[in-house]
Amino acid sequence: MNILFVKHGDKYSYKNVNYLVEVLKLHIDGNYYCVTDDPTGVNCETIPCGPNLKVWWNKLWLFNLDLPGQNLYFDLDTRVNGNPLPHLRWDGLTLVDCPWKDDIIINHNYDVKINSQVMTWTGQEQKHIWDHFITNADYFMRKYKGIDRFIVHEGIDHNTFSWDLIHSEKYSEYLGQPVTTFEELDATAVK
Amino acid sequence: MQQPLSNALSLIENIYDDSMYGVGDMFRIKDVIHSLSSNQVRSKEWLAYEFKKQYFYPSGKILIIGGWYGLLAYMLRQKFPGKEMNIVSIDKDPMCETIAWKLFPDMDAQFITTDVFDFDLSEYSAIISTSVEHIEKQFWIDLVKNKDPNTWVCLQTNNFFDHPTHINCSKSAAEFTEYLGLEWVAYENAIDNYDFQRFMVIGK
Repeated sequence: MNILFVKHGDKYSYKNVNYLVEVLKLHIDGNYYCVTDDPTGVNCETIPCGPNLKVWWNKLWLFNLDLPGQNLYFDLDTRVNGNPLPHLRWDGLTLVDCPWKDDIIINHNYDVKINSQVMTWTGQEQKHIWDHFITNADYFMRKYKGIDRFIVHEGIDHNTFSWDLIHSEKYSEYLGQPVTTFEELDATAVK
Repeated sequence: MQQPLSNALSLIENIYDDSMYGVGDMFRIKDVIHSLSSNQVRSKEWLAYEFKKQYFYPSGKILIIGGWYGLLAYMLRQKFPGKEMNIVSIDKDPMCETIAWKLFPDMDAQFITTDVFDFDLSEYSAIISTSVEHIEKQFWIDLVKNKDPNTWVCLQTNNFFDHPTHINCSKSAAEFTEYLGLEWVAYENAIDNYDFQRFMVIGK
């Protein structure tokens, strides 16, 4: 299994990567990779960022990597509370369901009810996502505020994890889920 | 600009109508409006005016890289109205070609959908772009290094570093000029665009 992170720019540091590597290794024996524009201090194998991309758009570059086997991705504003493995699935691309977004969906803002804080897929079976993005990347980056909206509104097939995997620090109650996301909170909120 | 703006209103209505039947892309409305904003018009007018002064001759072959929906081609055609000046505008986005013909239906220009990395840049008397900030720096360095010595370049970038699609901004016109490595700089200047500056360099 490949466990992947993306660190671009200075919003998060190598310490966020190293924390996740350390705590995930307690549960998952695999190959740890960080896609980054600055490998300094990162305690796992690093991969250069994709071409012409800033910040979160580099997450799409993950789908172009030639890494055989199961791929498991975590955003850096994530805390690991336990073993996520029993809650993961590998049939296609799987993302985080966000039921708390039901009340804030605006169609022409391309809002979505999923996020890509945690993702799973297998090998290069999702390479078509990168291939589609790169055909018109500049337009997609103007149209969508992030990759979640790109994935949903470009009609890319995806599943969602069951709700017992993810706890949102901002929106949901903690019920012992193995992963907590700090999405939409300040980077310093990650503990 | 009155006719292109009138054409834009018709185009926007068509995009909205298409979206009612599930085939339209509503974001194109916003994108078309942005492409004809006062900032866009001002920066393209600035380019066409200064380039005409430097280039001087009425004939040749202009290539516009990242020409978007054709506003720059239109502005240059106003300055070079004769058939002896050929204007080619390329963009990777296939809708740019379609929309450009709707905004500027009678214009004498070519709109081509292509990736600049796959396009033959030789045989142009001038290579022009206001999209330098969208394409990596090394591309422009190589373009200047490998072009015919007689080919003009006229390029714009800006210092709007925070925009997610801007991967190659410059801090100043001087920094922009320096990395391009032109043998001869005919013009270098900056204009204020409210919350950022736009830089332009013309030379060979």
